[in-house]
Amino acid sequence: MLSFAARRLAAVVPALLLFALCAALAAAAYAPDWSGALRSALAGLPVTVVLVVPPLAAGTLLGALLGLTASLRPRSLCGRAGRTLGALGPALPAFLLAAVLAAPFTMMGRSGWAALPLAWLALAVPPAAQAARLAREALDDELHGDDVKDGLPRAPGGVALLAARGRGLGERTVLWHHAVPLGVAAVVGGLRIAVVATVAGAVAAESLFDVPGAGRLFVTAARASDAGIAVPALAALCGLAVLLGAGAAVLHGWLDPRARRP
Amino acid sequence: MSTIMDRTRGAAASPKSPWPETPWQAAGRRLVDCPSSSVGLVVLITLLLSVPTAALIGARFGNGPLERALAAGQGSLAFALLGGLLGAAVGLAWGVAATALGTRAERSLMRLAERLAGLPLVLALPLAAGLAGRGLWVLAPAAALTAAPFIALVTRAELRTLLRREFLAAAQAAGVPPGRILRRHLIPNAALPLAAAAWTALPRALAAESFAGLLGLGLPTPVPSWGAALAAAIRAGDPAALAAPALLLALTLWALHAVGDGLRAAVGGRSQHAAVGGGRP
Repeated sequence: MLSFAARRLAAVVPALLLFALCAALAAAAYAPDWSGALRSALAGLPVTVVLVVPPLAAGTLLGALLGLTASLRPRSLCGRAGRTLGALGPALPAFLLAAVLAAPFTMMGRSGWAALPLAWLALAVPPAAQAARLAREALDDELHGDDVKDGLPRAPGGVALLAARGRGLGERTVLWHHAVPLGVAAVVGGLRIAVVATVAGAVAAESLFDVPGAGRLFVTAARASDAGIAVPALAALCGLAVLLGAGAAVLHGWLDPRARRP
Repeated sequence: MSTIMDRTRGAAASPKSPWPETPWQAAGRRLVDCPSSSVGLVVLITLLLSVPTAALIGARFGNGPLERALAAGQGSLAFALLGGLLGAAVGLAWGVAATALGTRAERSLMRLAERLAGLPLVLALPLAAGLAGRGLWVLAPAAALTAAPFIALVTRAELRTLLRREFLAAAQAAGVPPGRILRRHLIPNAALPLAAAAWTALPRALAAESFAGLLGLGLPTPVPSWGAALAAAIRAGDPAALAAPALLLALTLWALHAVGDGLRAAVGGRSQHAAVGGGRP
């Protein structure tokens, strides 16, 4: 596991170097003050991290819980909520939620850090919806899916569940030790896509809520067609996405040994 | 029990028809059977009919918020179609090239697609619009880039599972010439899974353009689009004007995703694992 983590994290180093090179070249070619441009891009990055990581973690956790409940207790309130959230997910991209939440907020004339909870909310819903959907689909598939396989009817449930039941494990053990981990693995497998979507959503949220991060820097520079600042800011955002994606891959490998295969 | 018998034996096309249904009929039935995808189809058709109508009528009289938002949809939908088709073509060509050009090209092409899929590609649209001007010939390739790597990954996975199927080995062993294998076996079997993969370019292109339009870096100003309408409503501080384009955009994105899911379900369970995240490397 440690070697897998080291390998996966080392694999992003070339990409990070490439981004750094692009940023340095663009800053040197287009910005009047190239070190200042690079420094401002890097200075905005911690703000973006604060904006991205908490909603990603909380949203995924909450969404996974709701999705698992939706599969295990479909009639309960949480189960219905998880099902609805998963179904509505595609209609709720982060930039749209940020726009809807930002309109009354900017009307009140406030901006900056006071907007942080709203920005977190806008960025937490899409990962939660994705997690709910993945968890519910995986667990449903595992518990009740495929009553016909290869043209022959058989008992419902995945192969792992059949094997566990065949060895005489109780239903509770089968559920918590074999079915639920598969649902969790599906959620963590989708985390990489959620990371990318959340970083892109953070750019919109920073720009709309006027939070001084790398995303707002990128948008203002792109509006002013200032490649000397826009490209370093974009490189910083891409580096963040790649790093968080590698973290998600390590987490996936830790929770799901099947993902550790090279 | 009846569904099991149906699925094992091959159901009749309709209760009256004595003939078993063809694979295309079965796929169509599975697409319509899925409730969310049939609702999505209805929503999409309604939007495609009402958006040009609203634009035509709005030129003469209408100016309610809903009419204006519907009229603003024409730029978004037309761009989604253009960028989506371009992205689908590039992605399919990418995946087919990776399958056809041998192991080395496959490995490098797919590694590139994997790497690109891990980046926030949506940001290419505002960057290109900011640095190279907001022309359509800058924005459409950028929107295509946001979708192409994902389609390439799914295409490669689909083609790889297809090439391993037994009936191809049987056809080769029976001495069927390669041209006819391509026409009779590969293309009919690949068409639906690849269409399901290519469909994902449409919501991606729509979302990318709306994202860029919201940041003020989308389609040029006279062209109406939902992203620009959202940005204008926020600048004006008018939540009422925000609601209509936001709802229409959410509805369109949901419908596109629902139809995409329906297409994937119509392909059948065989390739669902490959379709979710582009498959395992």
